[in-house]
Amino acid sequence: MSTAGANLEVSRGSNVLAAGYDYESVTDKISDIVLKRKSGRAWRFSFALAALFVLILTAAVSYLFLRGVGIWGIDIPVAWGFAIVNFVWWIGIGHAGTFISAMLFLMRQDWRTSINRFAEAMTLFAVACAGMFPLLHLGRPWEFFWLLPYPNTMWLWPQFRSPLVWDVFAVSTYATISLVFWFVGMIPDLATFRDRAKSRIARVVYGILAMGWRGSARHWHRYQTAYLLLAGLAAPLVVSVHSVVGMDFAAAQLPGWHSTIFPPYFVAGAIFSGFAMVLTLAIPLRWAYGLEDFITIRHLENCAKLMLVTGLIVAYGYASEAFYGWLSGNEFDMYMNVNRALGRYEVTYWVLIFCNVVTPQFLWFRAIRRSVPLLLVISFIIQTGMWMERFVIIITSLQRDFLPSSWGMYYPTKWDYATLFGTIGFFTLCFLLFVRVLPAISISEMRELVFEQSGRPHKEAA
Amino acid sequence: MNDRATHCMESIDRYALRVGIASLLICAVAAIWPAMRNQFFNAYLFAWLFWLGVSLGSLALSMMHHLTGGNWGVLIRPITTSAARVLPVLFLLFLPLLLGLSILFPWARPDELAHDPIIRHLHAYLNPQLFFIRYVIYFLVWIGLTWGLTHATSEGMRRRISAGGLVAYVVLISLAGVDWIMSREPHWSSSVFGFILSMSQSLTALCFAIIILWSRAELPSISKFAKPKYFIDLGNLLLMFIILWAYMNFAQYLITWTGNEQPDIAWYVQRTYGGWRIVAGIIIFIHFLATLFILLSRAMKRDINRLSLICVILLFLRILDVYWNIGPLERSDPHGGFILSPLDVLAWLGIGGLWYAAFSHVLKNVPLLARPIGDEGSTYGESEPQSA
Repeated sequence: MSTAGANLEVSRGSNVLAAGYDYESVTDKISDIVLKRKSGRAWRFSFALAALFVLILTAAVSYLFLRGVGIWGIDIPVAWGFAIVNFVWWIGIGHAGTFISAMLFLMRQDWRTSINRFAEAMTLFAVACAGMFPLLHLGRPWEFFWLLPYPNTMWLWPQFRSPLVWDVFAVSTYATISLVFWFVGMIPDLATFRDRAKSRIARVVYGILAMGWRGSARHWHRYQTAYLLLAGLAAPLVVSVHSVVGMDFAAAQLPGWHSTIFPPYFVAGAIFSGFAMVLTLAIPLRWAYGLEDFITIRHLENCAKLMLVTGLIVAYGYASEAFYGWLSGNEFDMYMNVNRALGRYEVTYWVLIFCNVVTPQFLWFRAIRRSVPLLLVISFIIQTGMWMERFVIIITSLQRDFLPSSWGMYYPTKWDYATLFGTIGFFTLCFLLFVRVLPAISISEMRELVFEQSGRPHKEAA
Repeated sequence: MNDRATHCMESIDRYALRVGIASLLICAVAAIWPAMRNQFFNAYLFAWLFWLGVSLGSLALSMMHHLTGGNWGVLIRPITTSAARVLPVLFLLFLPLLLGLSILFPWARPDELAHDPIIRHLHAYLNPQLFFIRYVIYFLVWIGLTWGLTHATSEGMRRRISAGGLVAYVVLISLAGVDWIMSREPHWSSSVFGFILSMSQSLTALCFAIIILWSRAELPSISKFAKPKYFIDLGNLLLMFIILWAYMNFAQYLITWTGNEQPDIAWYVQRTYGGWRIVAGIIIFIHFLATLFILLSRAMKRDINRLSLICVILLFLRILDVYWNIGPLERSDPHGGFILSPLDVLAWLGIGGLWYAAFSHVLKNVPLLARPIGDEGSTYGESEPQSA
């Protein structure tokens, strides 16, 4: 950085990047987290704790394979218990990552730059956790390939009219595109790591992953075309995946499931919980590695605003279920609402209302949107609420359907809880590893931001 | 092209009020005959709902722009704000419908109330008194929001009004959709209908605003800022509304189809009978698919002439979509086949003429641009204070 022209520096801070950064200091700051800093005590403690939960998950899954799904609390009528609740919860969390990386990219929002990389990683790990549950719920997970349409001697095909089959395609497409998008976006940064790494093994590994990136103009040109195309491919997935998940329920005639608002309302709920997870990850991350200059209050505030908007859509969804249930004049739909609010699982319903309807209203206040500790608390509450929402939708509808003679109860067992908390451990473990071996913030895009911001001060002053 | 547009708009300006009054007079005379009364009220409801969509969608677009910023809105916000300010006219134009409640709404007919258990169940909510009170409340809020936006002293205040206003708009239009459309078939209900309605209205309003912008694009103070990149933004917004509108409609259709339950599917069965099937086909293949592919092309969006040509076609298709949603109920074809009576056209022209005359009067008295357009930098978030 010797020539004056190349050494652009952000002389006046903006709300997406603090002042005083140039290309080199941005690169140093991000790459040092991986290449120079030692893993701190907090990281090692979190890693050990997460690893413990992964062990619990392993135990729970091993026992499940040994004994079958009978170890869970599922039975008839509630044959979809925690497994589907967790599946929908995890897959929803992933949506914010794709929303940030694809939708906000296409909408040219500059505040996505420093949060897109780890949000995409979050998506991948969340999809990995989500993908486990339908497979574990199969009963015979080794026959998972029966989900796929393939020519076989029995001439047996999946039921293509069932949204559960669409799910297989939606989720696997989602996982594939997210992985490719994440990886392609990382290539220039992997090359930076390759050039800066001290150990030989690291140089070789990052070198292989960087796929021969040299940063030539042609490379950049192709990279940007590919990135734009992948963003275009990923954007519809934000809507389609959770719409199909919503259809899993809405296609059935069960009261509380068969409602036309389900696809958009599920998508909003997914983004809602996803942004809560982004905050849950971003706040410790910026604190632990001193990234407050990159992940600024504005980033957190914008996530909070999106949480407020999607939270209001979710609240509209709850209200419309009650209102249209009454409007239909259908006794089963009306009873479903009564059962949710006053039945055997009433506590879960009111917890959900508190978490998802009452709590986000605090985000109307600017002071709360800009308070880091409060945002962390709110994001935890919302994630709890969104898990509860899926529990309420799935359990209370299955538990009491049309015939009172087939009503029943659902009690989760310790293995249900072990699997749920085990996947939370798995998710945390993956994220901790990611932070230590890959660039958690996009270096190349932050350098672009330096370029854009360094040209701005005289305009802003005007 | 623009000359022609300006010329065309000038003649619309000149004749709108006269055509409006004349058409409404003919409608009123026709309504004297009992045989025409059904037809009149249905036509009037359809026409009123269409023009309400332009005004309310415009209100929503103005609020969206106050909240999110962006230069696209600077060009069209004077238009959308003016269109929203016509709401009091629509409030008054609704009054004739109150004379035809028993024709338009089954819950207002005593014999149906006596025999139909669902209507009896809904009577606590769907009755003429509450219906009237709700209509007054909806309009009080919507007119209040428009008034607030025009009279607020600071941009911060407008933002706050818009944030609350959008929530109020979506909730109230959902309830109003139940009152004015869904309750005509009380056995049918669809929870996504409120979203569909708000998307439809924003789409209609955006098409309308782009066409008006086109007719004014030659004015010196506008043409200076009328750059392709703003038209591309407008085109993309249009594309987004079309996709969302189609997505919600498809969700409603798919879930109704898979459920295959009697009261729900009747809604679609009626709307795909005879000629209605062709209308549905036009809505799917032209309103959605054709415009989707056309609007994907940048060349179509960067040129205001092409973009507004698409909007003219879209606006026509919007009329068709509103007509299709109001549906075949109580129209003169006894079999429920598609029928377009002269009264439908006259009512549309009548309400539209009065609406347009009021709109054009308001528009002439507001500044041409919402605020001077800055450079790229002055988009979203710029006006927020810097973080420390």
